[in-house]
Order: sequence, then C-alpha cells, then structure tokens
Amino acid sequence: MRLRRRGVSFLLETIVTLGLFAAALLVTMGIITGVSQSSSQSREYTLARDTARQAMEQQRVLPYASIGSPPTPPYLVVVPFINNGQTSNLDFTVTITVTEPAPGKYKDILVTVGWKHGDLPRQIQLETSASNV
Amino acid sequence: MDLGELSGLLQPEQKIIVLYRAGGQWQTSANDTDWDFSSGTARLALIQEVDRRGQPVIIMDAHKDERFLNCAPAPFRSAICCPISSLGLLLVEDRANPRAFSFDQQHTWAARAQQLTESLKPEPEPRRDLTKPLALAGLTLCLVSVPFLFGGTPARPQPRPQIPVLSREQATAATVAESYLAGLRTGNLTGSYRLLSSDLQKRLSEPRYLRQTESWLAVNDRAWSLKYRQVKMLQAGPSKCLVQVVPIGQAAQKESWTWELLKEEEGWRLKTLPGGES
Repeated sequence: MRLRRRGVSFLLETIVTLGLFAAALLVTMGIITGVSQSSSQSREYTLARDTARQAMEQQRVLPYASIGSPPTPPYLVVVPFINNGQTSNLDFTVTITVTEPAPGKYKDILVTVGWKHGDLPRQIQLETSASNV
Repeated sequence: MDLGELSGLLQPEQKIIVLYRAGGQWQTSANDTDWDFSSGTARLALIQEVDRRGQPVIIMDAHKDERFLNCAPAPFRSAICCPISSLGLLLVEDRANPRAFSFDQQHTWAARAQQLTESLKPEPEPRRDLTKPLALAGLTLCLVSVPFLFGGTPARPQPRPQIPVLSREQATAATVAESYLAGLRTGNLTGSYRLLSSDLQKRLSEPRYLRQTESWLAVNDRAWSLKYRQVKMLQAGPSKCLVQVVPIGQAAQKESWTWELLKEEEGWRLKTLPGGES
C-alpha cells in the first residue's frame, strides 16, 4: 500500500514538473519568435529605406529637365542578404512620382518602395525636392 | 456662560483653565507660565486620566493622592477636572486648601463644562463660492467647442495609396529589363545577377559576372550614360522578348544595347549580358 502511494506521488511530481517545463518552453519560444519577427521587419525597413534613398539620389543627380522626364516606370530591386548563413533575396518595388508644383522652379520627387512581408504588403515613402538653379 | 463668567464664581486662591485639542496637541485658554502641563507633572496625569475616562474627577488633596505619587509635587491642593464633550477639558484648582471642592460641586462644574461646548466647537468652514470657477469652466468649454461646432469635422488623415508590389515571378519583360537597368545604375550588380536566365547563371558565376560587368561599365562612359537610358520594347512574344536600351538626352550619341529576355518558370529573365552578349 505504501509503495503504491509512493508511486502515485512520483507520477504527480513528474506530471507537474513536465507541465512547468512545457510552460517555460512555450514562453521562451514565444519570445524568440517575437524577437526574430521584429529583427526581420527591422532589416526589411532598413533595406527599403536604403533602396528608396538610392532611387531618390539617382533622380537628384539628373539635370532639372530630365527629372521625371520621361517618367520612370515601376521597377524591381532585388536585394540579396545573408540570414543565419543562408542567402535570401528581398524584392522591392520602386515607384518614382515626380510632380512640378511651380513649373520651372522646383520638382517634388516622391519615391515609394513596397514589398511583401509574408502576405502583408508594406511600403515606405521618401520625398524630396529638386530646384532649378 | 463663558470662561470669564466662570472665573467670577471662584475664590481668590482658586484658578480655572480650559484645555482643548488643536492640531493633535493640547492647547490652553491661558498663555501665562502659571500653568505647567509638562511631562511628569500632576496636572498632566490628571488631565490624561479625565481624557481617558471621559468622566469628571475630583482631587481632594493632591499631596496625599496616590495617583500623583510618582509625579513632581503638585502646585495645587484640590481640583476638579471635567470633560467638555470630547472637545476639551475644564480644570479648576484650589492652590491653598485641601478638600476645597465637594462632590456636589463636581456635578455643578461638570454641568458648567458642558455649557462651554459651543464655544469650543470649531467654526464651520465658510461655504465655497463656486460661481467663478463654474463660470470659468463654462467659458472654457464654450471656447473649446467652437471649432467642433463651426469648424466642421476634423480632417482625417488620408490613407496612403498602396502601390502594387511586384515580384520577380509576376513582373513583365519590360519591368524586368527596367529593373536590370536600375540595378546597373545603382551598382546593385548582385541583385541584377538574380535577373539573369538560369542558363546564363550556370555558365557565368556571380563573382565572374560582377568582375565582367564592372569592367564593361567602366569603358566609354557606359556607367555615366546609364542614367540617360530607357527601355523600349522591340519584340514582345509569349516566351521571348527583345528590348532596346536607348540613350536619350545628354547621352543620345551613345550606342544602343539590345537585350533578349526569356520566359522561365520563375518569370522573365535576361538571356544576354548588358552589352548584348549572350
């Protein structure tokens, strides 16, 4: 009888220990996943901003008359990056919109960079002006 | 009846004082140093007892009273101390004669002490005049509501139009050619390499492509002319396209390049290198 009670007690202790271990494991995995997601999004936004800045600079170095003329159609920028030793690519769509609020004086350059984070579309915009000097 | 009238009832060797609480401490009606309520005195022991019991106490002879054995010699011989409701105490002393007060007098003084209750009650706080604060609050509310009443609804931030996101698999041949040209412009040659056909990638490793393209761009102002080039479609087919990269503006005199694109499983890819070599 005593042996049987001891066996039941041991079983309960094991179940409780396993439960605690599983709970701790779940919490840790949740934190790791969250950090990984956050890091991934942060990298995407950084690369997108760099891409937008490059596209913007490409327009700014043009002579005033050539900015936005002819209009640049949307294009892809493939950015390879290394994550955990594996090379991956991010496809950014760059759209450049040039408007001239004051003809002959200055042009507004709006660069929009869009991409997909999983199935979710993301985008950033950078804007600058080029004056006719 | 007030304290002055009560004082008139006393013999010359008898004194009277009223004690009341203020700020958690005992205060007295007399400011002179004739009344000592410091620690260890018989007076303090007496008022503490009355305060604790809430009943009048009479002292027949303070010099023989066992309650004051541990105290300094009492400056009075007999005394009556009565509570004034729960607000204070009335202490009447005879400083010369023992047995100066009787139990009848204790009852009388207790009744007189109750008559002092009204004078010890704290004055009620004057009712606050809320007219000005309420008027100010109303005025502020009116002023704040003016933009909401007459200014229309606040402008909502317009949602940014979402641009269509392209992918290498779905991009058209023209878009892929434009993307390849943009990659050359910005120096993103590793990205441009991903737009080459699988056959070309097999024959040309990435490092070799990078070296070859860099040296090709360095010749004859080709890198400079990239920003003055645009893609024009020459032939569009379901699996094969020809585009021409024509110079415009300041680079109009430069040579044109012809690029061939193939439709692969992963989408349109360039079959030729920037200069048109396959």
